[in-house]
Amino acid sequence: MLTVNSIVVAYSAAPVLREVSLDVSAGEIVSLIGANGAGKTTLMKTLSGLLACIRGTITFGDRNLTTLSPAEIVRAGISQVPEGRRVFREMSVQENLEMGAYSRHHGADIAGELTEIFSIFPILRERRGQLAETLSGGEQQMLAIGRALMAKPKLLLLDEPSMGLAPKMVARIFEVIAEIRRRGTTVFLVEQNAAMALHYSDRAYVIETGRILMAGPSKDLAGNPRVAAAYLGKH
Amino acid sequence: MLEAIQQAATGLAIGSVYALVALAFSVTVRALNQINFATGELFMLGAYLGITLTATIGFPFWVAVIATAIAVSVIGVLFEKIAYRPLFRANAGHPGRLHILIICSTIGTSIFLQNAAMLIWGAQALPFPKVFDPEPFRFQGIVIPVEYFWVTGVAMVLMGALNVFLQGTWIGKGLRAAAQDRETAALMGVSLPAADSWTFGVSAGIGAVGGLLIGAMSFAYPTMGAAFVLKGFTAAIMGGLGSIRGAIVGGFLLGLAESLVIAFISSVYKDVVAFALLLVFLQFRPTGLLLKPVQTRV
Ligand SMILES: Nc1ncnc2c1ncn2[C@@H]1O[C@H](COP(=O)(O)OP(=O)(O)OP(=O)(O)O)[C@@H](O)[C@H]1O
Ligand SMILES: [Mg+2]
Repeated sequence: MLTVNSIVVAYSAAPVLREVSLDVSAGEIVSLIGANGAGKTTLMKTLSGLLACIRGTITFGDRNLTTLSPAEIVRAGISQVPEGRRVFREMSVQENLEMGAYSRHHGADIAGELTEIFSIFPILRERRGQLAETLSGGEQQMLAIGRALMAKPKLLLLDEPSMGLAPKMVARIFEVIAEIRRRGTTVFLVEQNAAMALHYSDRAYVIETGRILMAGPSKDLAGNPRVAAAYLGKH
Repeated sequence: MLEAIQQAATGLAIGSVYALVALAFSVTVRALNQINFATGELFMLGAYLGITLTATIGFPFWVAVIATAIAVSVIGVLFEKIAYRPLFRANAGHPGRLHILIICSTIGTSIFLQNAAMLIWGAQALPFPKVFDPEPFRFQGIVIPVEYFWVTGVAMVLMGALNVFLQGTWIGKGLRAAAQDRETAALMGVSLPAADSWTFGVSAGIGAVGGLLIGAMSFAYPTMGAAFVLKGFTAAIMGGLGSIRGAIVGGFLLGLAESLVIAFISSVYKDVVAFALLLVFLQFRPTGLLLKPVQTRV
């Protein structure tokens, strides 16, 4: 479904992503784990078209995404929950969700998706009139996920959905991610919380200083001594 | 007392124009964190176009208002494409440098527009044609020129229209999202280049209507922008630079403050009011009345 082929991405001088290749098939949950500054967010921004590749290609189905604008990529069926949630703080919960459907143009009938998202996150229905900045961190993460789902994506990108959340909330968010896949959306997520990411994903990649170091079924990687030592805190 | 009421009516009319200039500033500050120093010249163009459209072409006043707003909005969009976007693209990673370049580019544009106006309309002041009933409104000894009602009314309708545009339309929602967080707005599918064009277009159109309304109360001249820009900027600072509601509140407050000084002290001190308020606000409340003192925008 998504194929990333040897992409190189840089901000100014030295490349941050060096010949990164990976693929995601329809129906999978695939995770990418890596330490601070490894280039995970850079990859996510490139997939959504916020950053351009110097070399390499990204294809989605039979479409080449490499030269598309962020708006065209959302319309092609990829939406993102950015790192740090990035809800529109001065907008209400409802307006944030409406912004998620922005790419579907106005007049689009969003009532169905709203109902579906409220069924996944009942708390958002209760808070729909409230400004997003008044929500707790976990509620904001739910809102950010709900907002991305409003675009009706085929592929959902999540950049560190567990960041800064209490363990209980982290578990809840991963349950929701599994639920989203069951409802038919493919998921590609980036995490520093390797234990949770490996537990909930089918396959995983390990990134270190801009290169893919390892790849394989998540179970195998979780059992790999190098991964265990570097990312699971086991020695 | 009569004098005070009469001055308050003037204050409301003038204040609504200050509010429009303040809005013109705040729209670009809010969306792009940039001050457009050509705002005064877009204002001046509005005054001249208003005169040309009513006197030469013979449009009714309200048609001239709409036509001026659209024409100067188009100039604002062209400005964004020619004088803003190339600099923005080339300096996207260097906000400090971009600020300086935008200041230069907007000041350059203002000089260009002033000279263009002098070439087209001449250097002398042009009076507004007599489109309003010369018989003022009279009520129990209060005398208010008819154009004051027009000026206040048109400004208020425009503010209402801006509010509907930003809150209720698809493009307006995209602009609000982009003003809060450009990158995330782009992730939602908002086209940032289009949003920036709209921002400059809307700002220019609002400023131009402000100029047209001032023209309707007095006359137009090529350097008229400078005087009103300082007032409008003061109004924007008073309400909170970058706040839409703040611009409106600041504009009316400044207009009323000036008119009360005229009524109770002396018209000699009229212009002192704005400068004094500007200094006081910059010193003690730089974020204005309506923005939180410490802004956290991440
Ligand atoms: N806007 C930027 N300009 C220049 N360099 C940047 C920029 N953003 C990130 N970098 C650099 O690129 C590298 C990768 O950053 P990135 O944000 O992709 O890492 P990450 O894996 O997402 O880290 P984290 O887990 O902390 O979120 C880092 O060395 C970082 O300093
Ligand atoms: Mg990151």
